[in-house]
Amino acid sequence: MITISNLKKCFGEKVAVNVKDYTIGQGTMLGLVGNNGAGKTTLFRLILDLLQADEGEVHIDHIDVSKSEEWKQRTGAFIDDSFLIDYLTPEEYFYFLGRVFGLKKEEVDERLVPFTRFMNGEVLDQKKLIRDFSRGNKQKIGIIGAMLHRPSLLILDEPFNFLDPSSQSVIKHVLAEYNRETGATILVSSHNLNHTTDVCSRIALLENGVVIRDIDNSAHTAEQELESYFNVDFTEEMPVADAALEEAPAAEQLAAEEMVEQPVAEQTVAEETAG
Amino acid sequence: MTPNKMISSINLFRELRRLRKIGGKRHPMYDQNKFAKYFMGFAVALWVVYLIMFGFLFIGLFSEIFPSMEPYHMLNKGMLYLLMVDFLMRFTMTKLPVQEIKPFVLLPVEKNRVLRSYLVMTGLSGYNLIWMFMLVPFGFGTLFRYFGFVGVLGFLVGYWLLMLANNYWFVFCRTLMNQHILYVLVPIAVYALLLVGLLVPETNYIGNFCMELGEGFFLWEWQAYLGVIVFVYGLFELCHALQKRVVYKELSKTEVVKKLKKVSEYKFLDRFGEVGEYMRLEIKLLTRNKVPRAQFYMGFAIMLMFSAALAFTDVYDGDFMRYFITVYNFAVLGVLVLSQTMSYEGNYLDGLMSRKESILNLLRAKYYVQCTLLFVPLIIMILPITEGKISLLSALACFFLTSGFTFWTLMQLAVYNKLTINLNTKVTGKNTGGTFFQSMIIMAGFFLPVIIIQVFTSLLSENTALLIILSIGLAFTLTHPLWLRNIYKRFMKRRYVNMEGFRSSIMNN
Repeated sequence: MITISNLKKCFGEKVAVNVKDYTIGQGTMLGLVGNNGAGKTTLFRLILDLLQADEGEVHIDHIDVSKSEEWKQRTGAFIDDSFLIDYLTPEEYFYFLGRVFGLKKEEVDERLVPFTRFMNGEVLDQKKLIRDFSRGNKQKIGIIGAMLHRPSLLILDEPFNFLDPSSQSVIKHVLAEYNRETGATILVSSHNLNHTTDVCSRIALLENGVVIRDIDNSAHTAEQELESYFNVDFTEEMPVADAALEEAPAAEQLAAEEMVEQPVAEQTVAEETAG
Repeated sequence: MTPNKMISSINLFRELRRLRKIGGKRHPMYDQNKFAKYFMGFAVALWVVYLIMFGFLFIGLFSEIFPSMEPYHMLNKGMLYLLMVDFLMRFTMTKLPVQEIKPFVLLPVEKNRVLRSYLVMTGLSGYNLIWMFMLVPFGFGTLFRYFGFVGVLGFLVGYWLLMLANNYWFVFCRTLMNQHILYVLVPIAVYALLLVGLLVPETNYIGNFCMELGEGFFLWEWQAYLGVIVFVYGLFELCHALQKRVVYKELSKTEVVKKLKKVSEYKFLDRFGEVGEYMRLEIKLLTRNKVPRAQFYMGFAIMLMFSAALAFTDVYDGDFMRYFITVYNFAVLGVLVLSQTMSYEGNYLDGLMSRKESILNLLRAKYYVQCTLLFVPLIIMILPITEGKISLLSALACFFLTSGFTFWTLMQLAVYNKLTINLNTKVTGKNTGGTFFQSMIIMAGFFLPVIIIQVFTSLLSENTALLIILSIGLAFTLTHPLWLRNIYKRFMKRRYVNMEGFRSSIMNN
């Protein structure tokens, strides 16, 4: 269980995170969504004690993360490449993590089996150092590394980034399965609303560091609410463009109309995918 | 549409200088550097005093030893020795200029002009003027009465041009050596040839040439200046061509991804549990990444060189030098690697920090790897020990003083280092500024043990002194679990500040 109390982090004048009271129960799959700069990664870093909070506390299973390291044993996280030791091969990296968490080589091998489809034959036995892999495969290595010791709390920042569509689909399945099997708490941030609403039973919408909406998605009903939040009405936002359109030739007007209609088109695709 | 006007070379140069200044001020270690700069400033002031003293000293010394010749002729004749000393000093006093070219790659600025601007910047560095503290008093003391102010000025301008040439020669060698340590043979070969040319033939042609060149300077002979300016320009172009090649190679990453032929597992480390795992990581860090590997090999080569010098020659037979070299021999590898503690790990610190006590185990692993490596010089020293050049007791005292006191000193940097060092990029990248704080600790690591030895051996009999030093070293070595934990605790207290520094200085490969 994660308990956040009066958590505040500022970078100069800008308030990056300001969460009064927020509790994430054990077994919850929480999706964190918000525009760029909303504070998603900062919140994750605060939860993981990688940043010092200006005010407030984060407790994982009643342990203040800034005061003890005990919570680390049951937490897995992948934020970005700085979590990877890139001069190791993926196997070496997994065995290194395994040993740090007290796992034998055989156990690590065994735990890698469920990820076979996710790795798609491109990660193991390549005899390459991690730094020589593509961004997508590095992402896969990071995600697997975070899950290897079967943590009861898993934190993944933008896990769908850099992954091909098939791998995105596989990781969604892997995460849902992991949550169902182990009862682990999973925190996922993403800009991809479809994926987030597909796998998460609860969605937190962040704006300027504040959780402005806490949406129950157990019935998969959050997508519409999120779509309406994220869709920008271009006609209101771009008065200059509007003025220009009045005198614009037909071709340009058509292009501008396409621009206005784009969010609707996106919504249709999203609905189809969700369906 | 009219194309945008390109920035002029002067404005580009100004802009780059401004960026470098801002970079220095916003450097993650700026505060520590500022603090350390006062101490370094004091050291430089001392050095300046020495140089001024040498300037006056050489006037009397040369006229006494060579009464038939003017002192300025003697200095000019030996100018190559001065340039060699300057070259060696640059390894400790200056840094290889970093080519911060990445931000300009897609801008409408010729990359060549950026590269050239950075090279010009090194030429205009204040360091190239440091010898003036010696040459100004020397020039006024010897040349002024014959050739007046104009003559002295010519002499100084000429020597500044020579220092400029040395600057580019150093940049060229340093860039090469960063590519592969074996390129150290290039300056060695050049200086060996020059020394042979200076010392072997009956007529000292090279010395005479230098004397005439120096004379050309204070007589304002255009041929002398033209010759040196062409030489400086040639070296500048050579540096430019080499750096251009290296920079483009790094930017485009043209190196084909090599598949590992054999993945070393170092299975013997399994028995040491989690610390063994971090020792494995440390070995791979040192062997699989260009920057730490180059430092490691350099340290190893210096260590072997000094061991061999102690074992096979009589060069270091004096008491002070013998101890200095013995201490240096043990400490050099540790100094090069441990002074960067956490800076290499800054590349993946977030990952390490999300695991319990991983930093403590990492520190332990680093310490054990370095202690194990200390056996290499100890083994090599068996030879001078059996030849009676140094006693077994002094070798053991220096061994434990290094594993205890020196490593304790150096590993303090784990608490204060907060600058990520890119493991593989060398010439391109962001300017990381000077790390004077590191330099201070390194100097303490090198010189404090020698001072300790000197103090004890001058106060007590040699054996008693060495026994006390051995005890001090043993005490520090045996208490390593305590002081490593103390370093870890202090690191954890500063973790947020350090992590911020590591994150902000991390470079994209």
